[in-house]
Amino acid sequence: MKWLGSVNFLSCKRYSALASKQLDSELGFSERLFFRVHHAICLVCRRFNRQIRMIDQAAHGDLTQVVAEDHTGPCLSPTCREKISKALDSSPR
Amino acid sequence: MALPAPKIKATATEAGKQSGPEHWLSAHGDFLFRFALLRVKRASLAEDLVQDTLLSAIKAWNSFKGQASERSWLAEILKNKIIDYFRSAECRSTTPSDPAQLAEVVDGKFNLMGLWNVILPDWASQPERHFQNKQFFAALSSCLSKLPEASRRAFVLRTLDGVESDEICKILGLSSSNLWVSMHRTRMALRDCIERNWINAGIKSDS
Repeated sequence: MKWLGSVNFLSCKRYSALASKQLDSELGFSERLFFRVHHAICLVCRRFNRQIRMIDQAAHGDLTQVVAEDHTGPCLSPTCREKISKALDSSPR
Repeated sequence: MALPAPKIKATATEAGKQSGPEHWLSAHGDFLFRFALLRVKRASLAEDLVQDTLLSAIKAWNSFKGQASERSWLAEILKNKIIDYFRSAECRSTTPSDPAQLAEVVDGKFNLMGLWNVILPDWASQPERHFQNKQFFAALSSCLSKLPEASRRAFVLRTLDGVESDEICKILGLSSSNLWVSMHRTRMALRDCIERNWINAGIKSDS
């Protein structure tokens, strides 16, 4: 049970790293164990986990559409528009 | 045998708009520009990517079968152009990733025991109307643009475009653990920034 000693179940820092890693990959056995135990005992960490999930969800979901379809946002400059237009006209179809 | 290109095909969302290469620039140019700008930040680069996308799209127009809307088809091509750019030597040399980037964002949050230095406020206690609304997205996109270049790239690929971690490591030339460390710091930084921009803005506009 040597590995158990090396795991500080109270570490919020470790929890926050695993909460993030979980969104990108699978956790290993001891990571999962740590995550579950700490998740059960720490309110602030549960909050952190919820918040980063909410950010990921929004970024993966509607963010692109909201930003790209916002007509008040930045537009192609007239010079650039003209340049692209010329390039398109001279491109073979 | 290539199928004939669809003539004029209006989808529900783009009803009334004409389609076909000659209308792409006016109908989708700004949309594609903002799509690219969100991911690469630099306007001149975003413009080049839009041009590349439209030129590739013209060549591939015969293979467009119209299952997707024209706009999402163009966006898909642009997304791949951006990934190619991230993969390029040009991109890697202009902004090498710095292993110490954003390290202080995480380190400053915890004491030596690894416990939080500050109690994170509960976002759910914010008024309902602030949840997932326009202000939230505005805060998120502005916070995204403030991230260091290399951190933003990894977050864009992973989260905005849902690329698998292994693939991102290949594209950006990172090890898995580099990627996890970077994503952890980026999420921490985004969380902090959104809290400052969104929650505080909400409180101000309430008073």
